[in-house]
Amino acid sequence: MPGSKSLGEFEHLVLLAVLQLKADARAIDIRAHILEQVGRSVSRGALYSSLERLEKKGFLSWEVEDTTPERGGIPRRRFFVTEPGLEAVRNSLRAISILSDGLGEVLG
Amino acid sequence: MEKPGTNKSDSPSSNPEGLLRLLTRNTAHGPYILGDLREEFRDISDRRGRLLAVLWYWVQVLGIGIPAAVRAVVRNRGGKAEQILQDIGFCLRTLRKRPLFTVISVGTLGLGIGAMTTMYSVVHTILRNDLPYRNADRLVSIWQTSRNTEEGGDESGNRWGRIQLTYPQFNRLSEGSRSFENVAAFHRGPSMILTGGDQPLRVGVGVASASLFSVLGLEPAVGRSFQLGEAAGTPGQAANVAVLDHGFWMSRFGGERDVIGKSLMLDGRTFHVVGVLGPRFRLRSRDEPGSGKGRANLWIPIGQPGRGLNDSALDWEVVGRLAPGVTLEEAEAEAKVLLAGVYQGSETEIRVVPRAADESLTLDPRTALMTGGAGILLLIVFLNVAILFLGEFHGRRQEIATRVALGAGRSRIFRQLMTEGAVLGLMGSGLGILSAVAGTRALVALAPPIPRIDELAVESPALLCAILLGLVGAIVVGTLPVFSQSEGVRSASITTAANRTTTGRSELFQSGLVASEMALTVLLLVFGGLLTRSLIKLQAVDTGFRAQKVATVRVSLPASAQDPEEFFAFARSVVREMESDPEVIRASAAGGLPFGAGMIGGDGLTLGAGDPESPDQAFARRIHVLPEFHETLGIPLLAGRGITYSDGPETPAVMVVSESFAQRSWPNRSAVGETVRHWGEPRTVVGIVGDVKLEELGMDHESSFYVPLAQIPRSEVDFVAQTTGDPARVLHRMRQAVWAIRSDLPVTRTSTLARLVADSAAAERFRAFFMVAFAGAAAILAAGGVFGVTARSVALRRREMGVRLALGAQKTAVMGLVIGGSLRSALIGTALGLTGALAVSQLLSGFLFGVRAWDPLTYVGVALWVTVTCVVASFAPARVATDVDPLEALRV
Repeated sequence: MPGSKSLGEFEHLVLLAVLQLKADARAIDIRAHILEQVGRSVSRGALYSSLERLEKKGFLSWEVEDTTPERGGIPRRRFFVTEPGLEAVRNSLRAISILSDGLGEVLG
Repeated sequence: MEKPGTNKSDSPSSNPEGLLRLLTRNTAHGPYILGDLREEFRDISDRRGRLLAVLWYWVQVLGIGIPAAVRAVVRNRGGKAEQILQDIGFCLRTLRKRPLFTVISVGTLGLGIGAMTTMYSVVHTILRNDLPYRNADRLVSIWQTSRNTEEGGDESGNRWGRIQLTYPQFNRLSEGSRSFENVAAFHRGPSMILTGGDQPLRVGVGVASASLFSVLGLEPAVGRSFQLGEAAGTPGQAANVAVLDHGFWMSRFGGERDVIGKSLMLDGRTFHVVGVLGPRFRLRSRDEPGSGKGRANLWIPIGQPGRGLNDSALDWEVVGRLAPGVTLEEAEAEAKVLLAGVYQGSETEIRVVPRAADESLTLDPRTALMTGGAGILLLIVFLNVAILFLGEFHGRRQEIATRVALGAGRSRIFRQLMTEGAVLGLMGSGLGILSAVAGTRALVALAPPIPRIDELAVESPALLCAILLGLVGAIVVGTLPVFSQSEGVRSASITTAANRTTTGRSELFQSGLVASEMALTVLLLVFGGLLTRSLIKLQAVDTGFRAQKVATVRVSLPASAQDPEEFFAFARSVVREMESDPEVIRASAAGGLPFGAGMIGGDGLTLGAGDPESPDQAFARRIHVLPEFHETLGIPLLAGRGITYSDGPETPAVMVVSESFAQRSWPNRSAVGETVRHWGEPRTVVGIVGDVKLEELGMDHESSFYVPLAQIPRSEVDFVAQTTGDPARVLHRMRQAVWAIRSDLPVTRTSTLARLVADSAAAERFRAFFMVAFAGAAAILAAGGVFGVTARSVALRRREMGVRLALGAQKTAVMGLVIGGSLRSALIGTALGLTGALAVSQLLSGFLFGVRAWDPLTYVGVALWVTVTCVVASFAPARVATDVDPLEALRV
């Protein structure tokens, strides 16, 4: 069952970025968004392999958009988080919230 | 054809994109990744330039493609792939721990693979036969050939000489042939001057029938090609339209698509741009290479005023597309019948050949020589890397012994070394590819005399070559230590491994590597030395004239200006205008300048005015000159007088002859006053001047004679000016001087005479430069090899050195022992190399001038150089050997 699969830290970031970008969640924009918002520079190779993994886990899906001339006729993909993906993000956030409870002093 | 909306700067070249497509083909995301990268590529190209964008793309190919391919393999292969991945991971960790070894190995491999890949690309470009035309197998050329040249053969190794057709011949084929769907004629015409920009620009112009692009199946990428009515069979009737070459469009108009409809001012006439050719358009005319005519920057239709429709001019290269079902033989038979009445003469016949045969070349000796040089350098690189690996293997004996003790079999160790070799090899290949890209760019920029140099690029076969060389070479040299020291691997034990000294077998093996490396280096050094000495001799040749402080501009004259009277008046006015320049001492002009690239004709002459059938025949080169030409170039007048302004169109025909011509023709008396029949007319010899070299420094003096330009005008004239200072400074003013008299005339070449002479030795200079560069790199590598082997030998023989010192050996004796040891293998290598060089240097003799292939000075010089290098390279390790503390060395 997809929902029971674990979520890596980077995968977590990717799913959140896709959720924030909504209709603009294309691979190039996801990478730019993580860099802008979190200040983390992600290699394209790592991003594509994460997207592939998340798709395999059933957390992410995509649909094809129209192409533009500068893409040489290759369509763009817009990603969206699936229901199991959303569930996985919720579970992960909940776990973090529970485990960080009472650590205010340490974590600041 | 290119897709609309894209141009070269929009997309990366097909190589990296093709490689990435291959690497990501087993992933669901592959095609989309290519699209994303294209989008980003364009953005980076716009912001940072294409070069950086291409480099960025290559980084992405490695960063995205290779992990994706590895993941795909793991998915498919399961456990075995897992093991390979483990090996790769382990290998990367160990390489990271040994950064110096990794950097030197990868750098050395990159250098050798880069040089070899560059030369492979050159050879591939020359030999390839991939015509970019549609259904290229149906495309043919129509030539005529002289029966007399049947047995001769031309420079491309073809057994018959190709002669272009006349315009009426093309016309007959075009109108009457049924064997061809269509035929087209073209030629690379004289350059034209493009004005309207900052300054006039000389552009290469192709003249073509309206049908050319459709016959080739290469329609313009932007706009259209010529329409039927735009070309004409009568000079001056063609439409003033132009189709731009892709490269010219990019450089001159920045790839702007709105160039269509714009006007260009060419030789004072307005042409409208109607189309732009795609980047793949390439038409290799027989005029190129070696004709001095580069690629056509733009094409204009046949029928321009004064442009080659002369009935008898053999100007036109004709291509045709065979009609469906028609064979080559049928087409040739029909062409023979059609052209039977319009032959040039009874001694010619028509040939129809596949276009591919015209555009294929054989490898020229100079390219083969450079490729051989790169191959030897690559071998030296592998030997060097083998020495490096061997050293590393010694350093890791303890680690390997531990692994053996823990149960790793010999095959496991072997696999590990193989993986390391493969990883380093691939890294070296990557660097080699980058160096080859830089190397080919440098070659294109240097524009050496190599055929098709403008088409040179690192393409897929060259990439494959680089990867294979890196992989196979590095795996072989990486696993050599196992064979050289198998005893070490088998019997290794943890306690003894670290302390064992080098075995006799491995020492012999190392000495063999050093000797081989030295032998190959000596070979390259001898080649480099011979070519350099030859170049020096060539440049010291006496040309017979003074090339320094002479400037020259070439002017093309329209047919209308070639009336002798009018021409004389024009030329005289230009000379006066030039001489009014305070920096010009004197000026003159010639039709055919020594080292001026062509234009110097040759004639058969009959000595004596009387009987035209006289057996006294002579052949000499003809140069047309204005007065004071010989003074301007410092050619000495030996007897009689030079050409003067009194030698006009209406005065008696005269000539001045060169010394060798005079001596050969009238051995026992003065030539002055003799009569020579030239072109049927008698001419009187009025003076004798010194001999000059005409075209190549390496050629003997040729007999030549000078006729007054005023008596026989030419369509292109080189004005020359002797200057007080740097001749380059007056070039601009010389051009203005021409335009002050006739503002409509194109000045097609401005140069200094010294530059023209230097350019004539460009091929020799380029060859010597490359061979010296290869030899220099080889010498550095070999010195590194000697240093590495000596340093390792000293490290392994510490105890022995300690014992020697403890027993009272002098430090100089210990140093001598170490240096002597490395000298021994180097000298064996040098002896082998010199012998090898003696055996093969005969191959070089065709490239040498004034130096014999067994030139003793070069051989002795190289031997001394190698000996000194070897002593210097082993000096530092020898010093280390004398610093060994005897007590410390004996402690273990």
